[in-house]
Amino acid sequence: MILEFLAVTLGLHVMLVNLGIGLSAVIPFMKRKGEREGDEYLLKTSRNLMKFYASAYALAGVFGTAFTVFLLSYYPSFIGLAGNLMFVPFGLSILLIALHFLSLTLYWYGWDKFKQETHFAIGLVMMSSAILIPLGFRAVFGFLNVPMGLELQPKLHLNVLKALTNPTFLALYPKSILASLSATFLVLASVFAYKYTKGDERAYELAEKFAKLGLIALTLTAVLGIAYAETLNLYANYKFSNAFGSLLGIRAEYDLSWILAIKMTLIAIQFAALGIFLLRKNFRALIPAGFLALAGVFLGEMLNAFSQYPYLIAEVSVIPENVRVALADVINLAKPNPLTTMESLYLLTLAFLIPLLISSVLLVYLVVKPESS
Amino acid sequence: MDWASYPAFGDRVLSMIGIEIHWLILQYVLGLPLMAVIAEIIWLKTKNEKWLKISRTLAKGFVMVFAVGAAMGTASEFGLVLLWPNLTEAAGKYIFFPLYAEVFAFLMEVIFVYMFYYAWKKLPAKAHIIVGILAITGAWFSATMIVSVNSYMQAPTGILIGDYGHGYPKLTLFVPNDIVSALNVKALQNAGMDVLGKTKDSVIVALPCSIVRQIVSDAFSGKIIRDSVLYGFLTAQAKEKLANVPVKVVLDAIMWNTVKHFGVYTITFQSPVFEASVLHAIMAGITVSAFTALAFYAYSAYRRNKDVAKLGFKYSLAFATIAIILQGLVTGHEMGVAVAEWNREKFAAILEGSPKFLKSIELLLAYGNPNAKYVEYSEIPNALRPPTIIHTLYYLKIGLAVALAVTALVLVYIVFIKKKEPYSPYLLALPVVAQVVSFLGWAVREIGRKPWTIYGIMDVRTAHTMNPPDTVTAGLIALYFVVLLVALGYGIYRFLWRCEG
Repeated sequence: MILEFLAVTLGLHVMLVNLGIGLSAVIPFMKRKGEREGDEYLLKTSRNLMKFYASAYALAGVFGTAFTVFLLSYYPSFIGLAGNLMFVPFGLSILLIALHFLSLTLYWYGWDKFKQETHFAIGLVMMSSAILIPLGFRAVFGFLNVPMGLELQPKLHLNVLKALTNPTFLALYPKSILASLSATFLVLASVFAYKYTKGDERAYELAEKFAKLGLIALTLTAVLGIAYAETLNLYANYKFSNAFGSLLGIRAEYDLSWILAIKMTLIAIQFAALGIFLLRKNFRALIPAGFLALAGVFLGEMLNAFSQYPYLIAEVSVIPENVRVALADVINLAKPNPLTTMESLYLLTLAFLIPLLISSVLLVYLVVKPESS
Repeated sequence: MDWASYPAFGDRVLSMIGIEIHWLILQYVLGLPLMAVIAEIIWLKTKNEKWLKISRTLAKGFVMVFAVGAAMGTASEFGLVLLWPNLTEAAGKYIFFPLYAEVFAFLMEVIFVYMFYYAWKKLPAKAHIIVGILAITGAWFSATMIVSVNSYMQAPTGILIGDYGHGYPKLTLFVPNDIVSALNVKALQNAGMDVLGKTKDSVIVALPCSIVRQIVSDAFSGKIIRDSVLYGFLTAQAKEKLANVPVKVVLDAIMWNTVKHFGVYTITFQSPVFEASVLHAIMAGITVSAFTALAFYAYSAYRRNKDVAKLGFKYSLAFATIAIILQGLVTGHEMGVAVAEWNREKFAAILEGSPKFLKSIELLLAYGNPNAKYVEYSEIPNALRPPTIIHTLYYLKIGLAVALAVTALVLVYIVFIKKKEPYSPYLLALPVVAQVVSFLGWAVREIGRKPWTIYGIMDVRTAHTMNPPDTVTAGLIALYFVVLLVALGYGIYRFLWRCEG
């Protein structure tokens, strides 16, 4: 159950963060356009999106914290090791998280209260911080692919400059940002397509615009995805083999290529939906695309996080042998904290998690629901 | 001893700033939802719309600060991982459960705090009040979990207090039988270990914390048994067999076994200072919230003379007065008694240099006898002495808290008995003083625990990262957080204080 709990919390966190990154980029520009053109529809739409974004991002933060605390409980020595090494990448993300939540608070509560230019500037801070938060976290994921920059002298530490040249990180970070934009554009395209089918005429142009943006972002994400896969092939072959396994007919220790197969199918359907919509103006075809995009993000994250199973670090061969031996248990997902392997803990986790997940859906519903009076 | 002379001064200050900003904000989530829900219940009973307005304004207050407070909580969590990774690892390994459960509390808090604010006209009133009660539950549940871990750090379950000459304080440990068979029990007994009893799978011992501290330090610095203090306590045969085994393997086995015997889910809640600590912390949140609301409504009534502000002022004043009296006479007292009993070194540092009459009062409050015998600071071995600065911090805290309580009582007299309206911008000083008192309370608690990070188990040096940031970096990060706090304060003033006022 341990891996399932980690997967659920990480997957939900990443899905919501993906939406958050995309919305933080869309909302300030949509509102700005509305202000310049005196377009009440855009102003109202951007405000509704902001309301959703504020609650969704709060939930994203909780699931991120949940993932970290679960990881700490199940694999405490790994967190201890990461804490000793990762001051710069984690520290950078922490500073940006604090800035992001502040700018989000000021942007939301300062709606119509700041001067338009000032409000837009705060929106840009909100967008920039959202885009930059994953920089540190993806650097850590890059390190988990290939622990570049790990040095033993004068003591065990991380050489940050070397770590930043990690080729898997250089491909993963831009891919992650583009995937966020792609998923958000497709979700918005779906939402507006749905609204159009329900009689909202103005939703037509927004559905079309976001579908076009989605197509561009999805194409670029696919290209960067191939580049990322190639860096894994070259620098973290164990992980690459597990991710592609039987799809490419290569030997895998733990074959997770079925996840990749589903993800690729979902991407293909998204392309098809976009194509049908843009060529034939079939709005109904576009409606499922957003959901499929989010499902694709979830699966992609699962593949990236767990295809180095049972290790937390994929390419251990670059670690000097004496350190590797000492860390063998620390980075082994199959060896969790023995106090956390009790059935009662799993039941307790489910007893809390299930009603709270249902409540979080209710929260989002209540946030987007119009007031009754 | 000088506070700065303990290890990792810069990183301790950085942690203090990060955690204090988190606490400063999150106190409003402990107190304001309670005030908002009670106001809404009064509205439901009286149908007086002013109560609804008060409830909504208070809700807006805690929702606005909540996101940044939660983000600072995440920052504090990562700060602990990055600056004190060995402490974090030990917490995750041995006392993980309250941290684990805190995740559910946090999720509950986020969901219902936001639902309370966003669902105002979307749910029936009674359902909305239930949402509010769930928000309060989430916030208090969260505080309880975190304070239980902190309580364990102040006085771990199984800690035994006694004469320093006999090796006290000592820690109760359940040593697994297979490890016992490798130990030279005689050598350990000569070093101060007492055998307390046996279970089916373990021997229960009381091990002097000086030895526990060294074993923990050896374990977390990656030593093998041959290079550790543990080597001297092994049988000749075990020395040969186990010389190259990491100390952490042995420590983990003993600690895991000990935790299992005390209770994996309950160990931190059995800390002897837990109950007093959690009540004192939650009541601090309520007190700070009430004084802040009081100042907000006083300022609002002063500027615009609206009836709703006057009613809000009376409500907050009643709340603040009850809260500070309970805090001082009940929870604060219980906390003081717990400190005197379980943190004798801290108590001694607080009393160090106090005039005789003050000492008598403290002893009377702590032990029920003004002439009670207590451990003086000079009697404490150097290795266990906390910084004496807590003496000053403690009396400053008490002085300000008394001033706050007296001010509240004077205001009650003016408002409820003399029926006058004392609205003044000077009352804006009250939440600042309340926040300072709350901060000083934590400062005495945390600084007074030095030289320990976990009392009797892990010292500051062992808890600290092997790759700390340099002083300039730490200073810049601290400055950054302070700037964010100022920006948040401005936002609150601009969008809540001025707009609602």
